[in-house]
Amino acid sequence: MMKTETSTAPAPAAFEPRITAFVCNWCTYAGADLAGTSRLQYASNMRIIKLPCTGRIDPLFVLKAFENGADAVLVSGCHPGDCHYTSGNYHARRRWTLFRKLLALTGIGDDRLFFSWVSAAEGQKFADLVNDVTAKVRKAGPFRAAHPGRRAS
Amino acid sequence: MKALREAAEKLLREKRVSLVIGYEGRKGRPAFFAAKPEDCGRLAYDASCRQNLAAYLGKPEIRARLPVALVAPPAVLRSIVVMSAESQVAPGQVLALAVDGDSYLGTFDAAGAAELLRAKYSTLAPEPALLERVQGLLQKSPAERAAFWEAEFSKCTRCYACRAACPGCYCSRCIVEKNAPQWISTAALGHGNYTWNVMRAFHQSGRCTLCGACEAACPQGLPLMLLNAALDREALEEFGSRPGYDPEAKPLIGSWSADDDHSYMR
Amino acid sequence: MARIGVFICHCGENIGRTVDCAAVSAAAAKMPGVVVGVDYKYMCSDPGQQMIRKAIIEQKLTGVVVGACSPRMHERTFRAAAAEAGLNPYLLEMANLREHCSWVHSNQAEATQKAIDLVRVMVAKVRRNRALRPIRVPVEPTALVVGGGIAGIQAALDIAAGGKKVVLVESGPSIGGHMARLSETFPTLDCSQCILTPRMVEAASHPNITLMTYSEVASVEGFVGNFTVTIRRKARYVDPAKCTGCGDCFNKCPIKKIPNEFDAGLGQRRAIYVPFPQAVPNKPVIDAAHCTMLQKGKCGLCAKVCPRGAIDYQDQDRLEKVKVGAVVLATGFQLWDHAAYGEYGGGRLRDVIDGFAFERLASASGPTGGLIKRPSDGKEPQTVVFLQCCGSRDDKVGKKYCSKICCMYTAKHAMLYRHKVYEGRAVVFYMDVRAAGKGYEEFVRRAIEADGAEYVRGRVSRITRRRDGKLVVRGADTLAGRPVTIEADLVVLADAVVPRPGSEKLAQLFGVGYDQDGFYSEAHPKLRPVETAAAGVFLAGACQAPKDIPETVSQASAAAAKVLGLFAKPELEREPVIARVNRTTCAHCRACISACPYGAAKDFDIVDRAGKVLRAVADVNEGLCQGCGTCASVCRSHSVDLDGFTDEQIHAELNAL
Repeated sequence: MMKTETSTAPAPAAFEPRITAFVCNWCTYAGADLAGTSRLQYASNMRIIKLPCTGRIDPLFVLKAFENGADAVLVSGCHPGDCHYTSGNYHARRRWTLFRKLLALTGIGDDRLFFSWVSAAEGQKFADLVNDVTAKVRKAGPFRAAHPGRRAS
Repeated sequence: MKALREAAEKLLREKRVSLVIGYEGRKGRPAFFAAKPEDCGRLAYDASCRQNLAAYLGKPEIRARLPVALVAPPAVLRSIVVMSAESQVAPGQVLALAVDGDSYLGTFDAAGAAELLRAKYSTLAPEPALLERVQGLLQKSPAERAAFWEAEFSKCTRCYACRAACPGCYCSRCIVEKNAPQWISTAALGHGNYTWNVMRAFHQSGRCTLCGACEAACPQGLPLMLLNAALDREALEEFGSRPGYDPEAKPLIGSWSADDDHSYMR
Repeated sequence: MARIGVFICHCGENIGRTVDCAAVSAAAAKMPGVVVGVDYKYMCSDPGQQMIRKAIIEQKLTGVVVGACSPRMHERTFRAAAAEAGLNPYLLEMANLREHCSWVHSNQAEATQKAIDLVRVMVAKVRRNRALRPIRVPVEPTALVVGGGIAGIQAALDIAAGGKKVVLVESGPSIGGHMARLSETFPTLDCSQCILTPRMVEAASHPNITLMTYSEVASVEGFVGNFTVTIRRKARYVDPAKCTGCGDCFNKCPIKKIPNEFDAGLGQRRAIYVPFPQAVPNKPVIDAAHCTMLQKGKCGLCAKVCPRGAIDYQDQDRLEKVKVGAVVLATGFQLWDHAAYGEYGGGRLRDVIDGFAFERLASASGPTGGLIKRPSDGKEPQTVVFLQCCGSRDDKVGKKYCSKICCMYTAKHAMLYRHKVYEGRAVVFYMDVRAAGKGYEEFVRRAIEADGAEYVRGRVSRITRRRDGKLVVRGADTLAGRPVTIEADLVVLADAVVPRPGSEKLAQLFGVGYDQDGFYSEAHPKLRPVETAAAGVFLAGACQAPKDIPETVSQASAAAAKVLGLFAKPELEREPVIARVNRTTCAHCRACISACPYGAAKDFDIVDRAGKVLRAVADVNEGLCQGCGTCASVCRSHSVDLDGFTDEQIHAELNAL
């Protein structure tokens, strides 16, 4: 005889990460558009903030995103050499190398802070990236759990 | 120290500077300002003098009284060179009375200071003990590191003594004071404290001379040098950055190389 | 007080099927600052735009958010509509609910929530948008065309016919490109050079066209309407002003056996040479790598025989700067090197050749005078096998695409061979026959039915050379369902069309994108096939994708039309997304000046009324600033801000998430 247990309590909601993405208008945003035009499907957890260039992104924006409830941040722009503004992404690249070191030192690593180059022709890469990042962040868990002191006011 | 006092006196007597900023030789005493040659008798220097006098070069009251002379151990010499590279001091407006331990090394302008640094202090590096602590921290798990810094930053009262003590912090309107929009919360709470301390360290990348004045000034004993040393090593390893050795150097943040690493970018 | 109007588009079913648009507009209506929240089937249509205009006027809107397709699609449309209603166009933003939402998510609830979030972000941003005025810059009405093949020549001629000046830069010693190497062109079998050379001559003699052959683009500065391009004029060692093209020099040159690139290595040229007899300009150049005078200081025969003293061994590369307002990239293609196919001889078999080599054999002015001969022994081949899709449509060698022209030129080659060798056997191995153009299908049928070309559907697995010199071709006949072995005397491979070497670097100089195969990226694959992401830079010809001559000529004319459109007004309006410095808080650390890719950030002295310098700060030149925002991100005190993507806007967007 099989015993069945019925629980009336609702199952705990699975953790759905919130991911903020800072992307450049000319490459990654267009690549995301291409993913859309090609009807590629990917996880819906990411919200894009469009900027003209990854060179516009101040690391302060990344910290603010975490403060406002993001569980992970993605920064994505044009491949080296292809920046619409010639070198904005080179400046960005140098900043990120240093910034991620600082964040890693304080406990925020590759499972929450992601960087990529996605060109306007790489719709598939964008879709794969979103799915991959979302899966990784799901595993990493909520940011608040790992960093309880970082409550936004 | 006799040589130091004589040199300072001479600068004032010859009116090459209108002010000499130095130490009175005991830790905890504020900086000493000599406007008259006879005041220079009180100048002294020893290893307990942790204050980075180059921080005064950012103050409008001092800028109004240029040219000035500064008593400068090697880390402070580097700061003067950095400020020169960032066009905060015009050539010849600041003279460094270079000291090291018990020795007075001479009077130099920014270019001369850079030469002296390249000749005699080219291998300045964070102390091994500090680097060990950084390594120790990196060996911990991310969760342990996060917990460590949460505990430390919870002590921060946002007094901004670190900023006041740092010669690199010369902005007349600091980012934390910008309220439209307010990027960094001014409340002494977890997220604002984290952002303030991390961004201040980041703003010093490629500019910090590891003088230690910030950590020395912090009334809560935050281990700020851990952040600075880690960034300093990263900037050196990745970009060959050695701030304070070239008064014409381009800023680290503000330049780039085709070879910059991006192996972590997908 | 903010009065924002939010307009959500169903885009027919495209958005409406996955996103609950009514729910989104209802949620939007409740967002702070929003006074109007509506949804409609097609916002970009006339009635849709009219809705927006009406709302702007009647509801006195201070800002608009349109939740619809990508701003890259219709931002211009909606901003124009807003402007017509009297609202500054920069007070309108779009939320991307289609490409970034309804098209990529299938779960209705998730997609709808995301759509609401995206709209909220844009509402937060628009509340802080400021009215911006476009910046006017003068336009230099001269065009630069890079590449002197049929694409470049056509574009240059059309622009010149429109009354504007053109600089045509070609890296080889002569214009003409690959079309000059062809024997006949499909589907008419027109003699290629006969139809090309009149255009070449016209391009060279047109008063509006300046020809710069044997030259390359070295560097590029500036932006649309105002480019400064530095061109490297390679050393010719022959003064074109003195040279009459008499040919005494190359007739006497003792270095005779250099494989001629024009003839695909089947013919030979001298160290001082004209690439082909109909070259334009018909003036020789010296190949420095092979000239004994330039390498070792011995010989000097050409200088001795030249009646005009035109030879100059001291010649050097020169750099020349030109100011142009628009650029057309027409750098063309080359054929992929089939050495990667070990199965086909790895490039070592002399009688396995590519399409250009066959063209030169067939060409009356070619190395064999138009007789089809085997490169190895000069004998006339009795059996020629043609392989289509060599490298194309083959993931194993990294090329998934179809090269478009090979089915047609293979049919042409089979026909030409059969016309010249009446008893010869032409066998074509194919996967498909793609003959979609005007007269193309009829042409292929003629090759098969009238000229007896044998078409075998299948691929070739191996080509080996037998001791007697025959090439044993082993393939499959998939329609008959059996293997096939042909003993051939000559094999012609239809190698894939690939971009030319150096094309990537050229693209980077101009800020033009390229795909994973190296072909230049157009601004939109359907509706903007000749523009690129770099304003003022256009594309023509095979550099954008494999194409045949009629399409190349069409695209070149289209690019010329775009250029003439750009030049039609004396001033250009530029997007006013530019940086501004707060002079009060700037500490003059000069990081922005160091960072600016365009040199738009400069030192600026703040002076009192007497002219005494109080202090120095940074400042941004509106005309040069391109709006990347790098300066804003390196500024530690946030004293530099970027109009259109201000600190406040980004902060508001992040808070809305």
